[in-house]
Amino acid sequence: MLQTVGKFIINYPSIIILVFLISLGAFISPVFFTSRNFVNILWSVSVLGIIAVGQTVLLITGNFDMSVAYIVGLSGITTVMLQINGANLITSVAGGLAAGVIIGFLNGLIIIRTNANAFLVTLGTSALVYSINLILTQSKTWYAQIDAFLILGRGKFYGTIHYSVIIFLTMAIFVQIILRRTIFGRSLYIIGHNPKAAKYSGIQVNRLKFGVYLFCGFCAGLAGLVMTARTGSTVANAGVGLEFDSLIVSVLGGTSLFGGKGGTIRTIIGILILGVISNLLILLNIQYEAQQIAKGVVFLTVVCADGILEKKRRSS
Amino acid sequence: MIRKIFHFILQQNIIILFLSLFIVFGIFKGDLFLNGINLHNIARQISFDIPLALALTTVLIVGGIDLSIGSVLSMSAALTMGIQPTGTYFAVLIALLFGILIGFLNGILITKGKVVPFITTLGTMTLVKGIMLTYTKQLSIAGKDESFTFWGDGSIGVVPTPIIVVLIVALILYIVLKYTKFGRNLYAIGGNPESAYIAGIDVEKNKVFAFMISGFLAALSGVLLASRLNSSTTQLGLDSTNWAIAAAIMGGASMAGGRGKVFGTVIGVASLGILINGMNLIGVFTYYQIGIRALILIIVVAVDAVTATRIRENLQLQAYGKRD
Amino acid sequence: MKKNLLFLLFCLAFMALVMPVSAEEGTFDICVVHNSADHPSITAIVQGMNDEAAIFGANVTYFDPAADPQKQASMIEDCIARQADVIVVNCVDPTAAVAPIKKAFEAGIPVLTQNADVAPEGKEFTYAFVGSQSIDQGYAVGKMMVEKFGDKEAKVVIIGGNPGQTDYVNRVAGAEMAWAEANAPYEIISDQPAGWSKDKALTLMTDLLTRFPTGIDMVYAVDDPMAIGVIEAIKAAGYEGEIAVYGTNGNVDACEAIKNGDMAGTALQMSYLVGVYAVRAAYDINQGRLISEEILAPTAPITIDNIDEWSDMCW
Repeated sequence: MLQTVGKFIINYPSIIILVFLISLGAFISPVFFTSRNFVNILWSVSVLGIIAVGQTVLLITGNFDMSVAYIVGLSGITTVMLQINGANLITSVAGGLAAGVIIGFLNGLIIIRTNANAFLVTLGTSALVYSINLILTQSKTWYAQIDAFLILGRGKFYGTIHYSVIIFLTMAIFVQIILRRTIFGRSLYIIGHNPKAAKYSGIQVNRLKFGVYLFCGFCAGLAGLVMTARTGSTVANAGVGLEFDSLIVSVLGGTSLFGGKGGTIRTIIGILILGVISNLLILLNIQYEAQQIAKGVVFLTVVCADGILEKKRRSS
Repeated sequence: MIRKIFHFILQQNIIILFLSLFIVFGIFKGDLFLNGINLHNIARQISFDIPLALALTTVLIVGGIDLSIGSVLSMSAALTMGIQPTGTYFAVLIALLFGILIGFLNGILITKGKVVPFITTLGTMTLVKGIMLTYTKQLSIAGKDESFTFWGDGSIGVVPTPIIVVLIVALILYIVLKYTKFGRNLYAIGGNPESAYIAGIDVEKNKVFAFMISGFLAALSGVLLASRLNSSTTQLGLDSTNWAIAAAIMGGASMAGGRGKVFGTVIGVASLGILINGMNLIGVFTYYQIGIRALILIIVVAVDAVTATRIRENLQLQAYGKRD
Repeated sequence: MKKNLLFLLFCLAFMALVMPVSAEEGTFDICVVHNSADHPSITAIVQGMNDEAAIFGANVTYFDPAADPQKQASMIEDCIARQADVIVVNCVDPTAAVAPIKKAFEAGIPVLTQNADVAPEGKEFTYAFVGSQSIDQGYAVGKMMVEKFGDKEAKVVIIGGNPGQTDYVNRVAGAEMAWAEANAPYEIISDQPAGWSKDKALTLMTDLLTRFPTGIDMVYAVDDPMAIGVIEAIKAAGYEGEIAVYGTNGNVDACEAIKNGDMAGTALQMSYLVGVYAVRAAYDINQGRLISEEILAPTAPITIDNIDEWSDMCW
């Protein structure tokens, strides 16, 4: 029994941290441990969560995408602009998603064709998309025109939990099942673990990698729609900062930057850690600068613990 | 000899980019671009980015990355201005030591904590930013010692002081990386950490040193910036990290480790500096400037990757005794 | 080898392609260094400047340092190198802007500051300040609060921009000044930044409503988009009508919200006029005329009472 518990701790240190943070919160803040607060936490992280699902899958194959932040802006802008020009709900949403997929396509194309470093290429496309966003919006705020569209970000399922949260959780679980239970999913791990071996075992590495970039672009596009629906409007730099945040939560959950390891359920844990910390720090009225320090410390603790435990996992 | 130089230039995409930028801006806006004042300005502008890009070159060589340099820069600028009343150069010393300390912390976390550099430095980035905001109380700090501005804002003859300081530092780094055992060890570690370990190199110690150099260089940039603006603000170093990485890679460093050139990095920074300056002189609207910079980055990275693959394939062919 | 030559040619061709034709000749050159071009107020200013420049036949060139004081210093130097006739600076940081503005002064190029002024020690190097002072905007908001709440005790939440940014700090200081003048016993119970982002303001306010289930009387979001985010959070948490939300800017949706009664008030900043005034001042300087040291665009306090008069000025 003790051994199982020990093994669990070694394998999932992030869950322990999350449980610790939640009990800490329940202990020191009377309003923290309420269903309303939890619904709010989930709602506030749902946009980041949807991006992180795509990012996690990319990380598993040993790639990553720095352009997700501005794709969020681009997809929102495309949707809103389409609505302003009279497109209906479905066309505008499809347009926004397509914008995300197109950038994913561009990323995948350049990276696979030239074999260039993913970090740099996506850094480049990120700046490119930002420039497109600025040109399209002229730095102005643009408002969504169709009220039904706003439900995506603000609506609640039978008044209990937001649709955006449901989308995020469903995607995370669904993707996890694909990753774990299908040949396609397993192949992604092999690619991340050792691309050469994957190639020799007959996996079409480039095609799958390409597909994953498209998926990541799609997720970022969807996140952009949710964010736009949540705030009812969009600006050129709507998602700024989410690229690092999506990496942080994936890693907090235990997905490796080197590929071959991780999962989207783990990412949910990572997101909850980040959401709970942010929420707690505001509930406790901690000043912004101290919040930064606290976030840095928690983050470093988790990743260090994970790094040190990795050795133990290997030996056991 | 001339042919050899010509050949050497064509080998380096970054030099090609540099030259073509020079030619294009020289043709289009020669009167403004090639005049003494403007060249003086460019030299000063790039001198604050060079240390950052060199910091990244050093850690990229050992196969790492350092995202914390932007925060270190703003904190050391704040320290330089904040402690100035106690003693101008005492403050500079503290600021530089702070950079080295954060570099040391990064190094220890990476080697002992077994965390990948990207993640570690992402964490210290947030941490140092928090420390900076606490220390400055989110306010700008104005300098009290007017003579200190010589280092960032003054000139020796027609040459701006900071570029001289920075080029001397670059030269020292060049010698260290190229002609010392320590430097060669860094390349060996980045190239293949396991064989470096087997060859008897103390991988962990050298890595920590590389990160300390990186922290020092970032702090140096912060000190020079504080001197240039004669003040420190919380807004310093916001997105300089991304472009410093780009400059280092354009200059020949690789995310995979084991590669990186001081000279190339300096040219990389200079190219980006000239690009921005030239576009400003022509009057390209800011939205398009961002896009153009992005396109150039993508093209350079892509072309560099394609050539690198070619070279590797050629080497393999030669190893088999075939001629290209 | 051939490939590299090709690359050189490619680079040259690409560059020549992306270089747009330089601006047509006008009577004089104005060089504008923004604070950060990614903000709606900048768009309005640029519109005002372009419209007015067309009348005077001036060439206006814009530079965007993206809120980096060092880049701003560089860009002011670029403007000096361009031999502009007038330089207009929207200071990212008042203290850091002193040194480069001094350089322009020494090069004999007149400098105007726009919307964000330089620190007092740099004032002697500038001709004039054009714009609306952020401290005045905060003051206008503070006044509106005092009108509504009088000398009742009230608890205020501040939703800020980026930590330490001048506009954010000054607007809050301005509001506090108005309270102090009226001896209003208001207490700031939370002052947190939301990075000028509507979405972050929404999340922050949601959390703050959890923390203070009762007791928040007023919110001052230092920018209208964030104020709208705050209103969304208030609606979602079911506190509609209980909390007075104030913003600054005069964006279209804020005016709409004031009309609907969702928002209590905003300080309308007439950015378009700021642009117009700046070009006029530059023209006057160029003609050798004397100009006033402070050319202020009006800040209008807008509440539900006077929204109808102002709604067509919202931008």
